[in-house]
Amino acid sequence: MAGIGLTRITKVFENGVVAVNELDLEIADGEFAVLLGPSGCGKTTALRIIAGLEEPTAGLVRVGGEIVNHVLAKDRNIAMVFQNYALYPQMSVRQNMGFSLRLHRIPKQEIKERVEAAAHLLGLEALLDRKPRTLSGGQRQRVAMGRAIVRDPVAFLMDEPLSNLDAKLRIQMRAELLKLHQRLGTTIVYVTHDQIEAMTMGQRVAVMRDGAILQLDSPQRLYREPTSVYVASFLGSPPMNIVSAQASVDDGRLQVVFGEHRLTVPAATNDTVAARCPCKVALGFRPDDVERAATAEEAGTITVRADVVELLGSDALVHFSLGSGVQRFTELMEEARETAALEGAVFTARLREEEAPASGDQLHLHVHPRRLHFFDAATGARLAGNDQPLLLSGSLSHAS
Amino acid sequence: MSDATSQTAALAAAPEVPLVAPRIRRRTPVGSYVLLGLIALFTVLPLLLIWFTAFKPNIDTVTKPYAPPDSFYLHNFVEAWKTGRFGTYFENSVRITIPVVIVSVVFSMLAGYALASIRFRGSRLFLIVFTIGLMIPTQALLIPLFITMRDLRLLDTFWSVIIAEIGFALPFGVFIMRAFFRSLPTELTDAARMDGCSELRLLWHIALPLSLPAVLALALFQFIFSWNDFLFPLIFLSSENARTLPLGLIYFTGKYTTNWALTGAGVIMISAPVILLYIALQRHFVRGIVAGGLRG
Amino acid sequence: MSTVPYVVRRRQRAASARRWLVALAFILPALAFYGLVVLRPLVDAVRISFYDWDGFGPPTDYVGLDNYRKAFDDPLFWTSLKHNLVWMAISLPLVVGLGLLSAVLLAGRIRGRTMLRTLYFLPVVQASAVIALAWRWVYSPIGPVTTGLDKSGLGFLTNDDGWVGNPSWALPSVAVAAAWAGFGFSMVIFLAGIQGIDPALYDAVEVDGAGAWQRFRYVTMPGLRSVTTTVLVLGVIGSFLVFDLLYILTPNGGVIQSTQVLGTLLFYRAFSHNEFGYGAALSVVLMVIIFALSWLYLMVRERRD
Repeated sequence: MAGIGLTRITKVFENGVVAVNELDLEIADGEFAVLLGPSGCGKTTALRIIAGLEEPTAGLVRVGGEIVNHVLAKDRNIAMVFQNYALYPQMSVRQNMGFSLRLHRIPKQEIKERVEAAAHLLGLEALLDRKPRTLSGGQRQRVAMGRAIVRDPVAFLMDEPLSNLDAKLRIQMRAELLKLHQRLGTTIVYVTHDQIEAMTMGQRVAVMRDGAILQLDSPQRLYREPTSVYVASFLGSPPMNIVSAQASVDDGRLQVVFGEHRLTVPAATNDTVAARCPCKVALGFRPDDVERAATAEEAGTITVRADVVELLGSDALVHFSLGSGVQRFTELMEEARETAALEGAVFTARLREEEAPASGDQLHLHVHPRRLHFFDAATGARLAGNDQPLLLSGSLSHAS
Repeated sequence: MSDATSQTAALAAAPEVPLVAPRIRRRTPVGSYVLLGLIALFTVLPLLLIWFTAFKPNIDTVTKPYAPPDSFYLHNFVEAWKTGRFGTYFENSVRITIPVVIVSVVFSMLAGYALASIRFRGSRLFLIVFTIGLMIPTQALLIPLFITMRDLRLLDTFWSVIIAEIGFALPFGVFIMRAFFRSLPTELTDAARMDGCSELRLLWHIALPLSLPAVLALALFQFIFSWNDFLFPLIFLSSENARTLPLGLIYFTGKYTTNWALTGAGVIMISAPVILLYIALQRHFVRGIVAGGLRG
Repeated sequence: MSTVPYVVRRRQRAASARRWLVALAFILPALAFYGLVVLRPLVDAVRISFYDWDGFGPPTDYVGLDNYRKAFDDPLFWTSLKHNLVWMAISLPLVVGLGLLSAVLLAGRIRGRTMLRTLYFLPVVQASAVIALAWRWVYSPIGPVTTGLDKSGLGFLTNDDGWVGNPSWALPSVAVAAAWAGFGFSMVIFLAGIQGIDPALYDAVEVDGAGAWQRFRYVTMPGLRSVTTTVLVLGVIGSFLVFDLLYILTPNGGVIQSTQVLGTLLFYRAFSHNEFGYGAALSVVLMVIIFALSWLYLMVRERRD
């Protein structure tokens, strides 16, 4: 049993900075868990606390069911992979990988076997006697992994291990890491700021901000059902379009108004919102959940003018504005000020390349009501189920 | 797992018990502080002991040499200044050091800037020429320098010392200033040149303001070098009136069977300006030394 | 080049000529002083070394390499060199050892680190006159240290000649004083070197299971390799340049020439014995030694990169 648990972990540094704030996290044995967030959100600090490199100001750390707060890092039987690999420059690859075992007085023969097994697993056999400075970034990364694997730990802790690699290598290593996880079955706690890494690799992802976990879920649920504006706009590229809007119930239907646009949605789809209406809301819809419509008449369609169209092969990113009256909803002050300075915020839709308009064209965009996200305008918290079943006759021909 | 969770739950339930588990070591071991203390003692003791003598009447230095002074006995300073002629020596030191610092820093800046920023034929060669100076010890040139100064009829004048100190201060100064100017982003100077800025203007308005910390560090370094200099005054200055503080102090202690009280006063007179300036500017100074040491 | 029209080329050349003049103007002041005070004497030293000259009037007695032969045959010359090496053997380990120790200690989480660093560097900025006199007082038979040790029963640690008056102990004593004045400098360089070590390495080694000594051995020391070379070379070069402290504490080469080193030898030969030619030859020898050491250092540095 090598799950990892953090209970009410708080870390306050000497200069008063609260890096981690009452964090609770349970990671199951063998799980690939990701801590995702921007720099400064506390994810690395949390990882270091698990490792034993930092002591929490308060709270309990458990590895494999045992409380380990008082246990030194080297005795926690965990291995760490660092962002800059942290390979000992004066030692060969073989020595790097075997170093920890040497310190633990493992017999030489066993060290040799374990090092060679790990090297074989990672394709490092030819490099065993080279020094780190003669290796490429990708090779160093694998040596760092090898060093961790050799220890046969109960968990791997990885601190943004791929962020120093170039894009192509990164994609390759992501796949290799996943394969490794399948093969070894060891618990992995992975820290990153890259949402694509989180989405592709994590079984569960914890989105962190300001030292706390905002949402802990599978990548799919984070994407489909973000519980806050922050999570909604953090995941997904291009980011979710979120506007400040006014919602009211009219004639059994929910009307959402922003600027000159009006979205009509079957009321039953968004019960929670309807119950509070009339009210201000933050309305979100993803660029991928938008389709080009022929006319403006369907419910849930808005008419916009395409500003810039980016052709990306089979896709097209259409950037459009929603008029000067429409504010992009954001909790971040700097962003708000910035977009206010520009004339009208810019939103994005991803369309198929064949459907792409020309710049300046008017087009009708349809958003499926189930793919609309409603958030409380004041707190940013998620309001509705658009997971409720559809109850509208006819005009919507899109099955989702 | 259930054991720990129920443990945790129990702890969490108890409101007054803060949720903190036993901790690991992590305090800096006492041994470190002890060692540091011993080193500090070693460092400070020789200075303290001689500073003490400055504040005691001379008999005390003989009768109770290691006791700290009873009170702030300042008579030694007065006597050293007047009878011991340290006032004259002090003034001489000032009259030599100030020009040395100003001139060497300014010339270092000019040359360092040119070598770093201006692309011209032979800049490499000039750089090598200056770098050689870093490897030439002062002692090795004492004899020819003495002859040179004698031929220029500058012996026993301040000029000989000033010129010699400037000359030897320049290689290091040029080296430091060049290294610093090279670290500035070239876009700044490129943009200015495209705007039609002359090199002098460039140096004055752009490079100089950015280099103030380095200039300050260099100035402090040259001040210390010149103020503390013993060798050049020794070689070039013969008359008693012309002596600088270090030279004067040594001759003084040679002359009288050592009056340690007056000696202590002299020591403080030499050290005080340096120590005060050093403490005030030490951060910049250390950074500059490191840059020179790591690259030299 | 041939495709560039003549007019443009001429303007280009004028421009670069202008630049050259400006650059020269910037360099000239420094170059002038430097040339007068360093370069010309450098040449003069070599020139004078070929003469037997007492310093009065112009040198007239050309003797070629005789001064150098004289040095080779002069036992005092070799003794002086030996003393330089003895000095190195004493002060270098102290400077490097103390410097490294204090740097390693100060690199940790220490309260008052800046203050201590400032303190340890204090001797470095002291005038040689101050250092000499302070240590003369320390070593003095009637001084605080001796009387203090006597009183506390540790009198056997003292020396009646005040250490510097004793032929066997004079050189080491002054070397210790010099080490006291110098370790702060090496400490600062070591500190900078330590700061250049990737902090993640310390994390890695902690997770791998190293204790304090192993941390030092496997991360700190390898990381300091190039810095240590620098400190060592600067120390070796410095051992040949010693003059001030010896001149002040042990004038005239000390009791029975026990503290004569190359730097002091050339001084006394020229200025006390009026052997300017010979002194110049010794100066050239000193310069050659320093040049060779510096060059060696540069080669080592190049190769390592």
